[in-house]
Amino acid sequence: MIKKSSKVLEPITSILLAFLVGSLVIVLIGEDPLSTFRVMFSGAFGSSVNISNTLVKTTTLTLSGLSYAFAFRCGLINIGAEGQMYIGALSASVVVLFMPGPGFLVVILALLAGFLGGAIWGLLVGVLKVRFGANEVITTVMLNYAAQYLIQWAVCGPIQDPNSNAAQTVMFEDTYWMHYILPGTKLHTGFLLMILSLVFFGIFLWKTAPGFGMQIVGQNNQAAAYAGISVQKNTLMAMFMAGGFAGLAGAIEVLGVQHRLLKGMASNFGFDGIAVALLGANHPVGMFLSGILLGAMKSGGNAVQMFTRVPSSVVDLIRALVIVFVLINVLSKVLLQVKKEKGATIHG
Amino acid sequence: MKKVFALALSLMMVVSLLAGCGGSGGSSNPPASGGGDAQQPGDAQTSSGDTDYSNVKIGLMLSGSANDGGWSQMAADAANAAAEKYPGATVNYSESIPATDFESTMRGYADAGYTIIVSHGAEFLDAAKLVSQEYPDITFICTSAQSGQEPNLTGIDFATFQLGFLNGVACAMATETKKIGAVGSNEIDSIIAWADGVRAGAQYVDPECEVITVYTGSYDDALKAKQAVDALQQQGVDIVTQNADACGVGAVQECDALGLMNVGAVSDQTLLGESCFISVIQDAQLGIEVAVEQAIEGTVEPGFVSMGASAGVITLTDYAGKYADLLTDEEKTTLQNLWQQSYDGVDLETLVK
Amino acid sequence: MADSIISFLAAMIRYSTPLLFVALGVLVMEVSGIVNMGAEGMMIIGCLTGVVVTHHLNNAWLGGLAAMLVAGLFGLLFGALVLEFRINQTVLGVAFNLVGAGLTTTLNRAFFDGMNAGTTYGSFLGFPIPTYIAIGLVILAWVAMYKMKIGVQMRSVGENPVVVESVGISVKKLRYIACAAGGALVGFGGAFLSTGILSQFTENMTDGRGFIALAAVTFGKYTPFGTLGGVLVFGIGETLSYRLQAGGGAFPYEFALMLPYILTVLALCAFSRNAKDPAALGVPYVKSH
Repeated sequence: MIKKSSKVLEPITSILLAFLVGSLVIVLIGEDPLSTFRVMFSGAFGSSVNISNTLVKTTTLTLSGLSYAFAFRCGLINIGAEGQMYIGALSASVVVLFMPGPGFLVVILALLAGFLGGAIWGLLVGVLKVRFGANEVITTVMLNYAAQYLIQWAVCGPIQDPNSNAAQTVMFEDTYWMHYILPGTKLHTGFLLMILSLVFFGIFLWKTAPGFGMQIVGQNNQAAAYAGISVQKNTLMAMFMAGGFAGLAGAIEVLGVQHRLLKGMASNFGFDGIAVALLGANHPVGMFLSGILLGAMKSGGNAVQMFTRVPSSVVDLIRALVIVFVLINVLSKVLLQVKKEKGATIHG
Repeated sequence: MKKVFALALSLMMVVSLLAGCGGSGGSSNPPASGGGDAQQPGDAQTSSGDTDYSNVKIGLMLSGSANDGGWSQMAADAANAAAEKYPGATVNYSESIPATDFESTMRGYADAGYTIIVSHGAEFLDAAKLVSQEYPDITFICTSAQSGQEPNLTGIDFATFQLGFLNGVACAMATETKKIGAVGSNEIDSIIAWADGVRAGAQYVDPECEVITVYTGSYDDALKAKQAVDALQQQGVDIVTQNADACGVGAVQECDALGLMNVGAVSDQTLLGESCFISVIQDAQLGIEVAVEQAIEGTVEPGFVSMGASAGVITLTDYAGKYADLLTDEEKTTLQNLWQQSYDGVDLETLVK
Repeated sequence: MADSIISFLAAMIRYSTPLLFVALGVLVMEVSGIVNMGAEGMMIIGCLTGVVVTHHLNNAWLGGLAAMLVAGLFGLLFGALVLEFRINQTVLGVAFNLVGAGLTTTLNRAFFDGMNAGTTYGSFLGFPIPTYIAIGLVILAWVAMYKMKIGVQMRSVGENPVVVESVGISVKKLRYIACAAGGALVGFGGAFLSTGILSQFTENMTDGRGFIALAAVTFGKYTPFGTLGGVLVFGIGETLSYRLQAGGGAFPYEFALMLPYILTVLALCAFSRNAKDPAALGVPYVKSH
C-alpha cells in the first residue's frame, strides 16, 4: 500500500521540485514564473489541438525511447536512436518518392522500409560489436553523425525538391500521409502504432521465450552462456529491434508529421528518447507516461518561447532537472534519508 | 528537521503555483494569456493621443539563437526596434527552431492572433508559402528568400550575391597567389548565392583567380572555421573571406595567426582581427526593421523584394588593420565604384558574362 | 611533401588539444569505474567559466583554474549522485549534458552576453602552452596509473571494488577523487576551447566533443597513450576532412565531414579485439555489511 502510493508520489515530487528550481531561475532573469508555467501548461494541454500536438511529439519520443529500452534490456547502450531515426526516415521517404501504387499500400511499405532501414543501421552496430568487439556507445554516437551527414547530402542532392533550394524533398502527396484520427487536429495513426509497439514490447519481454532469454543476457552474460543462451545472437537481435523502432519513429515522423524528408529532423529526439526510457524505467507503461510528460514539456516549452520572453534554455534546464530529480528520487532518497537520520539521533 | 520543513515549504509553493496554472490556464488559450504576459511594462495603454498599436503582434521565428551576435540577433534587434516606434505593439520570438517545428510554430503564432509573422531565413520559405495561404489576413515576411507569394507573403533578399561579389572583388585585388578561400557554414541557398557572388567578383577582376569554397557544417563551432582556413592555406590560398555566423570569428582569428589576409562579410569583421582589412556589411537588421515597419503600416509589398546597396543594406567599411594600405588607391576606387553602381541599381551579375 | 606532412601534423595537434584534455578527464573517471557520458555538459560549463573569469581577472590561467574548479565541483556532484544514490551513470550523464547546455545558455543570456576573454594562453614554438601541458599530462597519467600507488588502487577500484574495499581502502573516496580530477580536466579542456582557441563563449560550442572524448578513451583501451592515439585518429579525420574539401575533391562535402566519424569507427574495429572495459565500469558499488 505504502509502496504503491510512493511510486506515484515520488516522480511527482521530483517534477514539482524541478519546476520550483526552474521558477527560481525565471525570477532570476526577471520574468514571472507563474505566467510562464501557465503558458507552458496550456501550450501542452490547453485545447484539443494542443493536446494533439503533445501526443504527436509523444509518439516519436516514446518510439525513440523504446529503441533505447530494447537495447537496454539486453544490456546494451544504444545512443544511436537519432541516426537510426534518420535512416528510417530516409528509407520511408525513398519508398514514397519512387514506389508507384495505391497510397495505403505505399504507406505500409514505407513504414516497413523505415523499420527495416533503422534496424539495419542498428544491426550494423551489433555486428561491429560481435565481430570486432567495438563498443556500441561509440559506434552509435559516430554513426549518428554519419547518418546526419548522409541525410544532409541526400536532401541537398539526389532527392532534393527540384523547385526549392531548401534542404528537403518535395512534399509528399496527401494520399501518402498517415491518416489523422482526431478531426481538426494533427494527431495521426502513428500514435496507435506507437501504442501497439509498446504492447508488443511488453508481450515480448514477459510472455515469450526469446524475450526472457534476452533479459537474462542483459542481466548476466555468463549466466546466459551457462543456460545455453547465445549472447551474440541476442546482441544482434536486440540492436536490430532497437534500430527498427527508432527507424519506425523516423518513418512516422516523415509520413505522419512532416510529410517530407528534411535535414536535421531527428536532432534531439535521440537523447530525449533516452530520457523517456529512463523516466519510464524501460517499462512499456512507464515509457508511455514519461513520453507524455516529455512531449508536454516539448510543446509547452515551445509555447513558452513563442509567447513569453523566457528563453527556451530555461525550459531545457527544467527538463534536465526533472530527469535528474526523478533519477535521484528526491522523496524516498532525500526525505526518507532525513527521517532515518532523525531516527538515528533519537536512538543515539 | 530543518530540511523537511524547507522541503515542505517549497512543495507548498509549487503546488500553489500549479493551482494558479490550473485556475486560469483552463479558461484561456495560451496565446491570449501568453501574448499579454509578455508585454513590456508601460508598453500598452499608455499612449495618449497617439494611435494605439496594441493590436499589432509580431511573431519572429529564428533558426539560430537570439544572441548569436550575428544573423539571428540582427532580426531580433530589428523587430524590437521597429515595434518600439509603435506604442502597444508587441514582439515575441522563438529561437533555434528545429526544422520539424517550422510549420507548427508558424501556425501557433497565426492561431494565437499574431498579425505579423517574420521568419528569418530561406529555410522557412516553404513553410511560409504553405501557412500564409491558410491565413490570408496575416502578413508574412520571410527573409533571405529568393521569392515571395501574393497576396500576403513578402520574400526579402538582402542582395547576398552583391555581398559576395564585392567580397570577391576585394579578395581578387589583394591576392598574390590568385587563390581565394571562401568559408561558408552550410550549403544552403543564401550561402550558395554568396559563394557564387565571390566567384563572379573574383573573375570580374581577374579571370585566372580561383575560389576554393569550404563548408564547416556548423554555425557555432569556431574551431571548425579555423581548421578550414588552415586547410585552405595548404592549398596556396593567401586571402580568405567568410560567411558562417559565429563560426566566422574563428576564420578571422586563424588568418591573424597564419599571416593570411582576410575580407569580412555581413558584419564589421575588421573588429575581429588585424588581418581583416575591409568588411562588406550586409545590414539585414536595417532591412528587416524597414520591412516590419512597413508591415505595421500596412504598406509592405507582397512578393519578392530585394534590398541591397540602394536600400542601405549593403555598405563598405573603412579600411583597417595591418593590410589597410595594401590596395592601391586605384583599386580602392574600383571597389567603391562597383558599390556605387549597385547603389544606382545596376545588377552586378550583368557585369560578368 | 615533408612540409605538408609536418603542417598536417601540426594542424592536427593544435586543434586536438581541447579534446585531449577532455579525453584525459574522461579516462580518469572511467578507469575508476565511472562512465562519464556527461563530459559534454562539464566541458561547456568549463567553456563559460573560463571566459568569464579570464575576462574579469584578465588572466587566462586563472580562468582555466576557475573552470577546473567549477567543472571539478560538477564532477563531484556527478560522483555524489552516482555513489550515494546509485543512479544509472549513462543516463545521469545524458541529463548532465542537458543541464550543462541549459545552464550555460541561460546564464550567458542573463549575464555574460558577448563577453570577450580579452587575453589568452601564451605559446611556445608555434603551439599554445596548454598543448605541451596536455602531452605532459598523458605521460603523468601513465606514470600515475602504472607506477604509483594511487593509480594502481584506482585501476583496482575499476576492476574489482569489493577486493579493494576488503583491504581497507575506501572505494567511494577513490571514486570521488577520480570524479573531481576528471571533471577538472574536462573543465580545463572547455576553458582552453573558449579562451585559448576562440577568446569567447558561444552557445553549444562543444559540439559533441564530450562524446568523441569518450570514444577516444574506449578506443585507447583505457590507457593514457591509447587515449592520445584515439584523439589523434579523430584529429587526422577532422584535418583530412577540411584538406579534402579545400583540395577540391569531386565528392560532396557532407562525405568529407563524415570522415572523422567513419575513421573512428573503422579504427575502433581494427583495434578493439581483446579490448576490455574495466570490469566494474558503470556498476554501482554497494558496500556489503
